[in-house]
Amino acid sequence: MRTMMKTVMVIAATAVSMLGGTAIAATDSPGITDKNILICSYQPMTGKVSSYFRMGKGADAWFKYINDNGGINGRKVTYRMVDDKYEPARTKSAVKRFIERDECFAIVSPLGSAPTSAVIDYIVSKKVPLIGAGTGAAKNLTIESPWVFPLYPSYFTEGAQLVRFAKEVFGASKVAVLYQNDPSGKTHMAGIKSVLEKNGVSITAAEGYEPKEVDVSSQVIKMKQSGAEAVICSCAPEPAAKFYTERAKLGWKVPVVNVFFGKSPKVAELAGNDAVEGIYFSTIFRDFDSPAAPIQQAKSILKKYYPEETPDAIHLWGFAGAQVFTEAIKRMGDGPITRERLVKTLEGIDNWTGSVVPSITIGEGNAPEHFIIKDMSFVLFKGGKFVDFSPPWMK
Amino acid sequence: MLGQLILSGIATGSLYALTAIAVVLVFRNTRTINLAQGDFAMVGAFLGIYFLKQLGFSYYTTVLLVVASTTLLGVAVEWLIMRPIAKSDWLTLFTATIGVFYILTGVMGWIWGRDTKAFPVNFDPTPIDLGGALISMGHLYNIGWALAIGVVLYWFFNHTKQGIAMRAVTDDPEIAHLMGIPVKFIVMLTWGVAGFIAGFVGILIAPIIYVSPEMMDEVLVKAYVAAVFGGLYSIRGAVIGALMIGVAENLAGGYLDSSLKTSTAFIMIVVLLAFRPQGLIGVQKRREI
Repeated sequence: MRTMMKTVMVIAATAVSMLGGTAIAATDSPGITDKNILICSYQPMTGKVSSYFRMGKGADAWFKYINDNGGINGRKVTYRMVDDKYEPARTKSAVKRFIERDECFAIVSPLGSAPTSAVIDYIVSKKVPLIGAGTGAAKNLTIESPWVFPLYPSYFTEGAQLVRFAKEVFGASKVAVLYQNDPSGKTHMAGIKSVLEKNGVSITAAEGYEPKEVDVSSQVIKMKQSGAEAVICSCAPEPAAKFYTERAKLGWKVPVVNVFFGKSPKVAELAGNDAVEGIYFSTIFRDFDSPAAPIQQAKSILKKYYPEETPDAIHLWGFAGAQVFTEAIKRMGDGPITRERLVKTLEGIDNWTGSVVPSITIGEGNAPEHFIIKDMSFVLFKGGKFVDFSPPWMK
Repeated sequence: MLGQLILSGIATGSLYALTAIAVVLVFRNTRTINLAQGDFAMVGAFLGIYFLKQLGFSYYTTVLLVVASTTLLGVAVEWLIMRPIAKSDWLTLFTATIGVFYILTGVMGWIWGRDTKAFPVNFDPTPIDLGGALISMGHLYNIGWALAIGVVLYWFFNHTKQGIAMRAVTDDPEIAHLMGIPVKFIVMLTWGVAGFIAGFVGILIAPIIYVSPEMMDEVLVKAYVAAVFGGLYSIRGAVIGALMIGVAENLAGGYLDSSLKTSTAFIMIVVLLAFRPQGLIGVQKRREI
C-alpha cells in the first residue's frame, strides 16, 4: 500500500513538474528571466568600417540608460555585442552562438548589409526577431518573414530618389555614379537604373571602388572625363572623403549628392570642410542640432555613456532600433515575453513619436511592411555643418 | 585623361615605393618577409597625431621624433623578437612578424581607438598643374620624399662603411662574418633603417589615406607585390615595381573597369613570375635547401 502511495505521489509530482515546465516554456521565450532580457548584436567594432560601430554604441548607450533607470517593467537589458569586423564569415559564427548557445531573445540594431545578408535566412528559420538592422540591401528588406523589422528604406528606393534629386535639384540629365563594390552599392545602382528612363537621365560613368582601396583617383578622373553634370556617390565616410579630396584637387565643381550612410562629420574631418562644402546628403534622421526632445535626450545619453564620441547620425540608427524594442517590451507589460508577442506588439505601433524618429508606424505582415523608417530626407553641408534641405517634391 | 591617370598612378605608386624598399632591405639581409613593416608606419602615423595634436609640436619636430621612435621600434623588434630566433627557418621568422603585426595593430587600437582619424597636417589643397595633369601637394611631397630617401639610401649603401657592410651581408653573411663584419650589428641596423623609412612613410601617407590601426594593410600588400615584382633583392626594382603597379592600377581602372583595379597588381605579378621568376631586375640568388 505504502509502495503504491509512493508510486502515485511520484507520478503526481512528475506530472506537476511537467505541467509546470510546460507552463514556464509557454510563458517566456529564451533569453528572458524575471530580472533580465538578453538581446544581441553583431558590430564592426574593429576593422576598416569600424566607424559604423557608432550604431552599436548608440544602442548600447540607450540600454545602459534604461538599466540605470530601473529597466523595462522591472527587467534589466543585457545588450551583448560581438565584433564581426564586417566579415560575413565571422557574423555567421557569432549569430549561431547568439541563438544556440547564448539563447538571445532577439537581435537588435546590428550592422551591415553583407553581414546581415549572410545570416538573415538562419535567423528567420530560428524565428528570432531581427529588429532595426543597419542594412539597405534588398534581400534583407524584402524577405518574406514576419520576424524582420528593417530600419530604413531600401538602398533601391534611395537610389531611385537620388536620380530624382539629381534631375530636379541639379537639373542634370547626365549623371556619374561612384559606388561601393558590395551589396549596398549594387542595390543603389539597381535603384538608380530603375528610374533613369522615367526621369530622362542617363549614366555617363558608373565606377565601383573596393572599401579597402588606397585611392579612388582613376574613378574620379574617369567620371570627370565622362561629361557628367552631377554625381551620385554611394560612398561610406572614408571613401567619400577620398572622393571629395580628389574632386577638389581636380577643381571639378560638379554637384554631388551622397547616400545617407556617408553622412557623417567624419567626412569633413578627414577631407576638410572646404572639400565637402556644398555637397548634399540624403539622411534618415534629424540632425543632433535639432531642438526635438528625443534628439536632445539621445545627445545627453550618448555624452554620459560614451563621452569620447562625437554625436553622429549613425549613433541614431542604433538608438532607433533600441528605442522601438524598448517601447514594445514596455507595452507587453507583465504578460509573457515571447517572440510571437513581440512581433504582434511591434506591429501595433502606430504614429508613435517617442523616439529619435519623428513618427513610427509599423504595418502588419512581413519585412516589407515592417519598416521603422519609410522616407529619406536631405541635408546640405554648408559652413562646416549639415543644414536641412527640402527638395521641390517635399515642399 | 591618359596623362592624369599616369600621374595619379605615379603618386599612388610612390605611396607603395618606400614601404617596398624597406621590405626589400629586411628581406635581403635577414631572409625575413616583414609583415609588420606597414605597422611600423602606422605606429609612426599615430605618434605623429600625438606629437602634433596633444603635445603641440611643430611639423618638423614631429617628423624628427616620429622617425627616431620608429627607428627605435625597428631596433627593438630585432633585438627582442627576431634575434633570439634568427637561426630559424624563414617560416618561423615570417610567423614572428605576423605576431608583431597583430601586437602593434592591437596595441595601437587599444590606446587610440579603431576609428579612422584625420592627420592634423593638411597640405594646401590647390593642385599643381604638370603639363595639363594635376597632382596634389601631398602627393608631390610624397614623391619628393621618396626620391630624397632613395638618394640617401644610395649614398648610404655606396659611400658609408655600414652601408657597404650591409651589402656584404646581403651577398654572403658567412663570408662577411669571416671578414670581420659585425653581422649582428648590421642586422640590427637593417631593422633600424626599416623603422627609419617607416617613420617617414607614416607621416607622409597619413594625410592621404587617414589614420587607423589597419591603414597600412592594403599598402603593405601592394608594397610586397612591388618588392617581389622588382626581384626582392633590388631596391631599384622595388621602386620601379611600385610605380608600375600604381600606374597600371590606374590605367586598368580608367580604361578597362574599376573592378579590375585592385586585382591588377596580382595579375601583373603572376604574369611576370611565369616568365621571369627572379623578378624584373633581380638575379637568381642562392637558394636554401
